[in-house]
Amino acid sequence: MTKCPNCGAELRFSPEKQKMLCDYCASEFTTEELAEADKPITEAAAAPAKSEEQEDREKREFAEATRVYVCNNCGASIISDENTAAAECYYCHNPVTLSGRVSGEFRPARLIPFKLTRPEAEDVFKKFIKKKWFVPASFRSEKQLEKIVGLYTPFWLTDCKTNATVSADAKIIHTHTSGDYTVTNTKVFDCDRAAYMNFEKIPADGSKKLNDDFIDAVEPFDYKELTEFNMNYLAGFMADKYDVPKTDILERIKSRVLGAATEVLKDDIKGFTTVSITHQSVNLIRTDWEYVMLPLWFMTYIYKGKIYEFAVNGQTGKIAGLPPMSGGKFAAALAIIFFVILLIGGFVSGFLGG
Amino acid sequence: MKKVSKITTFVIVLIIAVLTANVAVYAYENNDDVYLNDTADFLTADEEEQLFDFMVTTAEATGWKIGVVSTAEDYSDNGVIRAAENYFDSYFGSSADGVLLLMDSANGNYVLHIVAANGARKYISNSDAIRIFEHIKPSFEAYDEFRTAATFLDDAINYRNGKKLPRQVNIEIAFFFLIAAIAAAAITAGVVWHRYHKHAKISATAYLNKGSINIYNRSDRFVREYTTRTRNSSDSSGGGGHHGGGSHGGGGGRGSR
Ligand SMILES: [Zn+2]
Ligand SMILES: [Zn+2]
Repeated sequence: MTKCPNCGAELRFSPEKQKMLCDYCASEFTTEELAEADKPITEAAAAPAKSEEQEDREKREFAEATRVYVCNNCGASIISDENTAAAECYYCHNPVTLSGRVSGEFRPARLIPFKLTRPEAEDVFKKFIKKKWFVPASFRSEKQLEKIVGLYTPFWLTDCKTNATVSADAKIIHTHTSGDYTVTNTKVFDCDRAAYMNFEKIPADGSKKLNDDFIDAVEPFDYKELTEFNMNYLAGFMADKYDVPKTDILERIKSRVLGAATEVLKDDIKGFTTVSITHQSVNLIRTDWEYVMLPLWFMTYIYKGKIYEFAVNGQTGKIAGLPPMSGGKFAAALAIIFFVILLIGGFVSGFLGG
Repeated sequence: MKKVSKITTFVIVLIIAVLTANVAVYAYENNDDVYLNDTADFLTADEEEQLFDFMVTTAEATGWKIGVVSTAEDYSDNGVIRAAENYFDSYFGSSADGVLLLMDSANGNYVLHIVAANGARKYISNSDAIRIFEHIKPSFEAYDEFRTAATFLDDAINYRNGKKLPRQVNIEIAFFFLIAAIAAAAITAGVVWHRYHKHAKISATAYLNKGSINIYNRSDRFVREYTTRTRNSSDSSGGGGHHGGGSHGGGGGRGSR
């Protein structure tokens, strides 16, 4: 039996589709795709495998040295080392209760340690907010910064092999003038492209609570700084416990690579005046995963009953987040623009002036 | 009120009667305050006589030197300004207070230029001169040089008395700006709203291993060919005869020195 190259479950042949199907992760494969999937994604040899014994020991140590706190309000699970007590939920700021230990499977093999200190992260945030004209005045107060938390966030780094196809309507257009006439000659072509291509280490957060678009916006991370996990990195920081299994992010990965793959194939359609894509698709034919923790300075702000999230990349200082917008300031700005232009128009057209 | 208007009517009738009676007898004569020079021969002898009288009245009412000149020189843009100022300076002197209207017609183009000099500038600014220009232009375009000059004199008296012409409102431009204001506000609203509600999209291209791209199918199939012919619109512009063609020239003032 062949195993699914995306999730490891067993495949079954579908006579209708003439393809191998995975009932577990809903992947589909042609025979050619399965042959292609046999080839490894990255040339570099994987890190020397640890013995099972060593892995078990590390997991046990992790379980013993960490505590899990649970927020009764929003359900967030927060991991901290045994000496760092979590008092407040990083997400909704309600008190959290100690719920015991975490199982060893949540120990990441690698992480990127925090590089940005808390004051540096606060600075990034202050500069970001200073540039936002339309945030309510109360949002700028220092108080909010007390709630900034250094959070090791669970990520699935995905290596994937894809089979991508595009179809396009392409035209060669020649125009010339003949006497009083403009003559346009158009040649129409149907173009198809298909390719295998690999994507490496696409990050996707493993936390249901965190908005995906929002977390994507702090990318990229520099993976050269990925280091072996060590409990010492956790001291003084919090970590989030993943609650999104890796197979659940397949669709998200697929939609992200579709755009990039289409771009590559469209660029290959050369020699035409216009190229318009009529069909595009991408199939993930092999996926390898690594569970890692990436550093985010995280902050939420509750304004008029709505939670606003901000994250600063703890490695690069890139910030993401959508601040609340003050309706009054926004309306005032629009009114000013509107009336200034109207005023200029008044003078130019003669309605106003001496 | 009725009495007054009756008297006015009588006076006008009388004046016209007197003028008509004396047409052939009196030719006007330029003096220190008034200068009329119809080089281009726009006006009939009657009209010249009548206009001259009106110029004298205007000079008395305003205390300004009053000049009306017609030429057929086909000036350039700057040439007409210089010509008008030269007429004013050479006749009245460069330090005199006054106004002069230059009407020019040659090669189908026409030029109006208004000089407001020295003290008159206090009453007729550049933009006022442009407004007067716009006011008298329709008469000039209708080949009615007499009315052009008469209206000009009327306006000069009014401006001297602080009565400015009503503003010309360009509805099309006003409407354009209204639409522009709505569009600018809408675009700003869209951009700002988007910035506060949508995260920046990060492409996955950064994670693509370019060396791994293996394009195994590449086909460009010719489907069809077609040719279209569209006739080019030929732009023909009608030429004008005397006074025809486009407007040229404008109003202008001159600072006191
Ligand atoms: Zn599967
Ligand atoms: Zn919570």
